[in-house]
Amino acid sequence: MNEKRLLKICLVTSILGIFLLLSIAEFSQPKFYQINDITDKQLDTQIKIEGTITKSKDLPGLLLFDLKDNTSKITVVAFKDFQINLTHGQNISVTGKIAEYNNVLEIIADEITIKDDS
Amino acid sequence: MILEILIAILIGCFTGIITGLTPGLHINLIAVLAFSASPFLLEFISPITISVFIIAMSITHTFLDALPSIFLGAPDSDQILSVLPGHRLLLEGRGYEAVMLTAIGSLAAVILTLIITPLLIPFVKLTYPLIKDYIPYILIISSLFLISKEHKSKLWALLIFLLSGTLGIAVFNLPTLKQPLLPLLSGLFGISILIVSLSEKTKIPPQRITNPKIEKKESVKVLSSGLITSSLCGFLPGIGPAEAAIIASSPFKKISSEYFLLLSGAINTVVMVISFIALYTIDKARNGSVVIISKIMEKLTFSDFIIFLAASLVSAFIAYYLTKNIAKIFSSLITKINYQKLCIGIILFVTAIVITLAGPLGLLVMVISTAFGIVPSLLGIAKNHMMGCLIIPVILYFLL
Repeated sequence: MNEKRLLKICLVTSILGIFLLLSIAEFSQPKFYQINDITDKQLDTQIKIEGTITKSKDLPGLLLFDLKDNTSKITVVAFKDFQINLTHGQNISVTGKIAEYNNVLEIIADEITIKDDS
Repeated sequence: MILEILIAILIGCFTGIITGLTPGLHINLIAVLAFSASPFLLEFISPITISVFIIAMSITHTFLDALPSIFLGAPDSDQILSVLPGHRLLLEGRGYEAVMLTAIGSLAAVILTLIITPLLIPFVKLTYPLIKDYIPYILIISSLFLISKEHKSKLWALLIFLLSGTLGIAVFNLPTLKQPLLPLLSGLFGISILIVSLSEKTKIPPQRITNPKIEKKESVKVLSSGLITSSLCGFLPGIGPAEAAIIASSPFKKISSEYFLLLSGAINTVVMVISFIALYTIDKARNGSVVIISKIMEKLTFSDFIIFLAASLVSAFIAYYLTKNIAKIFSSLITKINYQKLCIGIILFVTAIVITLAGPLGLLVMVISTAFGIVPSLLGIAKNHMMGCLIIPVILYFLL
């Protein structure tokens, strides 16, 4: 195969491939989990959970809170400034990546949505 | 305790041989495995021993990764620039010399870095707060500078940089992809180069075991430039050894293959040592190994830091000796083995690792990254512009 033809094939494959990956990233929704079902198999993957805020700790540039559903609870780490006010007892949904800190699983929040203000 | 640390250094060096010699097997992967096993290991050994193991492995890796880069044309992302000058010497029968140039650069740079560490600590402490808010702009300026240094076509270099950035953004936003860096970097910098080598049907001439001849004055100039650039780049996210090597070589009007190999070897190792200094001084982890060390060590004290530096120095001497001997074995074997079959074997091995650790989606990422990774080779454009896959997402993270 001559170089020009190979270059064309590689360029077309990569441009189409990048668009394909962008579409997958845009349209694939993170899988919803009950907190009890989260294990280290989900480490580094993005998931979605829902629950109630039970305990929170405000640190400089970092917000830590526990999220509880009817199965268990997990610590949520919000690194960036989320433009929402989070309070104790609020029902929220969190999308983020599962990580491990001091041998305990936690979720690093990418997106937080308030479900209701009860 | 000392015996425990010495054993950790030896096991680390041995693991560094395996990761350094195996294209696609990154030290981050082993560091993550060590971290996963840490709850069990910490019942028997201290956190500092596990950290020393990771340090010894990382330092040895930066010496040994020159071998697949030069002899097989299969570098990892840190060694992409040593491929061409290294391959040039290999085709002249001087592959051993090429490897030894990077090893001499690495060892000399580790010694020099440790000598200037008392100056580096206050330098990093003072500089980082000043530049912290300007990191994305520094990254943009550095990237544009690197693109402007492209001789063949600046427009293509810019396009490659932007497209690789888009690829990086897409890959890092795939919600179900584990280990996104593995298929991305293996495709861009590993398999793509092997496929190009296969298509070129390279025939390796018999190799000579000759020691490199380098001038002391020129070597000091090159190493000083490497050290200064690494000190500036070592604590910036997204700027790796390949980018630092281009910046460090820019003051020289013309740099020969020999001195470029010396420089890239030095920078590859120094950036690793500087990342330990950055962890101690500004509490920032700039690569995967250091991220794991920061997780294992709850608090890094001054005495821990001194142990890290001592472990780096001991590992560097062991790694130098290992590189020298393994390069001799490679030199005698390279003409006896079927290079094409070896390339195919490595491609299959890396593909199997990607499928196991990153699944079918990882395989898709690897195929797309491989196709994209072939483009700069065919255009004759430097592959370092593909580091946009990391730099652009980092810039956007800081700006958005």
